[in-house]
Amino acid sequence: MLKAKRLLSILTLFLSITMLSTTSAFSDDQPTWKKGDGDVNVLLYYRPGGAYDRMNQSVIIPSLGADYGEVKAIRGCAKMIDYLKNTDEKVFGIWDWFSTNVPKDGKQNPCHMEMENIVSIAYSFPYHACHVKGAEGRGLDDFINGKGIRVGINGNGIYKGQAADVILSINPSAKIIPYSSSRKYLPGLKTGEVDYLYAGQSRDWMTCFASTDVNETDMTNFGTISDSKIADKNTYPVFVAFNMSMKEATAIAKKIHGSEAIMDYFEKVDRPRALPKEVKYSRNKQLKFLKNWHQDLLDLM
Amino acid sequence: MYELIFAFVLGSGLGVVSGIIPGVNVFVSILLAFPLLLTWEPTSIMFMYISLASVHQYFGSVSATVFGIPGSNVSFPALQEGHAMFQRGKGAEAIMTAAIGSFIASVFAIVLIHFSIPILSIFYQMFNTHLQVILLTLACATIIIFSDNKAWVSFILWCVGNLLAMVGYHDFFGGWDFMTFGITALYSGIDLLPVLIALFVVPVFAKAWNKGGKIEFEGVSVSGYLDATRTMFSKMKTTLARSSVIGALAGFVPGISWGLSTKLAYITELVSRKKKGTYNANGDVHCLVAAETSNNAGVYTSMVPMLFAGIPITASTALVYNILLFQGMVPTVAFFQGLYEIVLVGFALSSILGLFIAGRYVNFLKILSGINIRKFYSTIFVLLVFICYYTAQKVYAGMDNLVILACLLPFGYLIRKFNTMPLIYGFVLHDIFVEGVYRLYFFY
Repeated sequence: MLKAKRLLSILTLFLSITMLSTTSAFSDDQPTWKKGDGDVNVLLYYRPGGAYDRMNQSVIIPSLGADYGEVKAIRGCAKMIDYLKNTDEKVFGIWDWFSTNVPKDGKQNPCHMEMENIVSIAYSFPYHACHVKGAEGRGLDDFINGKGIRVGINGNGIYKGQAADVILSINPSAKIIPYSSSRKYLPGLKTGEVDYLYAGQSRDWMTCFASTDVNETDMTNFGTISDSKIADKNTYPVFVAFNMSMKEATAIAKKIHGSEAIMDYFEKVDRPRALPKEVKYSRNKQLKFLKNWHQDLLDLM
Repeated sequence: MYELIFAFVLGSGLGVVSGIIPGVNVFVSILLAFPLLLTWEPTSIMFMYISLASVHQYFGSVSATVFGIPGSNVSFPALQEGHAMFQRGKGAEAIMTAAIGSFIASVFAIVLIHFSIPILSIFYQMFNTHLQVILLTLACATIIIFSDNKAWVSFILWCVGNLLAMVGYHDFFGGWDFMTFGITALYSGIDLLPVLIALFVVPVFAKAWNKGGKIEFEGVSVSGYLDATRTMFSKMKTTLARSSVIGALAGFVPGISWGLSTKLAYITELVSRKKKGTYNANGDVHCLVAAETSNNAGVYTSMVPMLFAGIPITASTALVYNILLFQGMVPTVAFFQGLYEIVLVGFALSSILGLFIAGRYVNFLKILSGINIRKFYSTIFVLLVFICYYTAQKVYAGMDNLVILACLLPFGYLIRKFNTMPLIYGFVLHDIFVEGVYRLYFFY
């Protein structure tokens, strides 16, 4: 009897500790945001705390206001697609359409998002060429003419083809060094194993001198130094919506685009306080633009 | 001031909980406090983070040693050695020495970093892809050669670990689909928890199940602590020094940091003990101390790239970095350097706390004495299955984890006679190792 009590108390101890944490998160992919009273859920298939989550929390949810329901965090884009196809709840969010729309073995990508669910371009993020601040001999001239310079890139899927095409069109002798995340390529630059980064991030210890974004007038536009037809194109995440009318979804997108929060967000991530000009296109024209741009990228893979 | 005290209490509390429960790591614990942290000053956030990460290391080994539960991703050495000691009635010694070793390593790391500040950039620049691949190769090769199995068995187990880690869709390797069979749940890969439970914990439990018997567990006293400290200083000097240095240096490696610290220090000690013929196959206290010592040193040095270069190199420090971005901070190098002292104080205080409460926790566990070992393991196993489901269900993947666990369990039982550590090493180190080798190809 005594032993059974002991066993029970130990079990209770563990369950209590477990339950203590049930109010919020357990898994690596679990956000901790409170639910709202509305009926529009916000999707999240990337790691919480990352760029898309920050966008969700600081821009999309405040823009939804009373319509916000909850964050639907599902691990992986393939499972998220499964969920989105089978739910009858309203869902709105950001989708990395470019990287999840690469055909796999000639078939549709498991993360493929149908164009009918794309509401509009969400925003764009440019690529920069950067070196460590004060690094001797580094800069635009060396980037163009330096023999065997090593350039670190985001080596994931479609982005690798884009980076390689632009960099090699500028300097054919450059070595392209792929990294899977910023946690790997930022130390790569800092340790000196690469001379430059071609990436979205910039830090105060870097000097960035070229950009794909024409809005970044303090840098040389890649389009002026490269003959690659994608040298002046950014990457464009899109807003997607499920179980909502396009009118309702477009209204949310417009509210987000018109908000001060999105501009503040850009400023925090060191980007110009401006939306890409393509946002002003009609939805059909945006979809056509995305499709063509994406096809250009696929051709490079 | 009150916010700092609260940050310390919260960080330490979450460190205890996350150390005990598998699947709840430092990253997840910060997520738990995410909404709260958004309202805090940067100093409090860093204070909370370092307290959490430090105390987490103390308690991860406690639950691994006593319950056979891998409380954290770096607890396999504690499970392998500490739990074996627990099974032969040496659980209190295992926890006590691990806690003392961790504390000594923490002090070492503080002193090392403090006096190395002028040359930290040189230190840091050494840890490029080349050195990372060398360290990871050494880690894998030595665990294959020096585990208890025949080398070819360990090699096969290591390969199996790698194969399991390869399951999924790999964007980084040009959109390579490996053994997903079109099942969407497998596209993002297999979770660590079902693999750990089925292929590492179950073999350990199965061996103990066959032996049967009752649990013997003695508590510790202050004099016990002092005696253990004296003994460690006289008999484990080399282990403590070597593991502290390995742990501190490996903590610089991006992406894996103190995880690599633990693995390298453990296998270095394992090799040394086996060569001398002093390794105790029924739980080796030197190997346990080596592993637990190194991860505490690694936790502190993993902060260095963020504090002195503005670069987070672990998932949890990246999350802290993002919280600061959320708040609208401009996270410059100068900004982070300004937080160095608060991190130092937080780490020192949490190390003292970890040493103290790990001891109290040991005494509480005297309640286990006399319990039938089969009932004990049955209970723990049920609890682990529940945790495996529950942790993943938060992202709608609970059933996925249970199905994977069910598929792997028979294999875990079949390989119960082997030391499955090489398999776990293969699984855990796969991504960073393969990426490093792949990147080297582009360098040459």
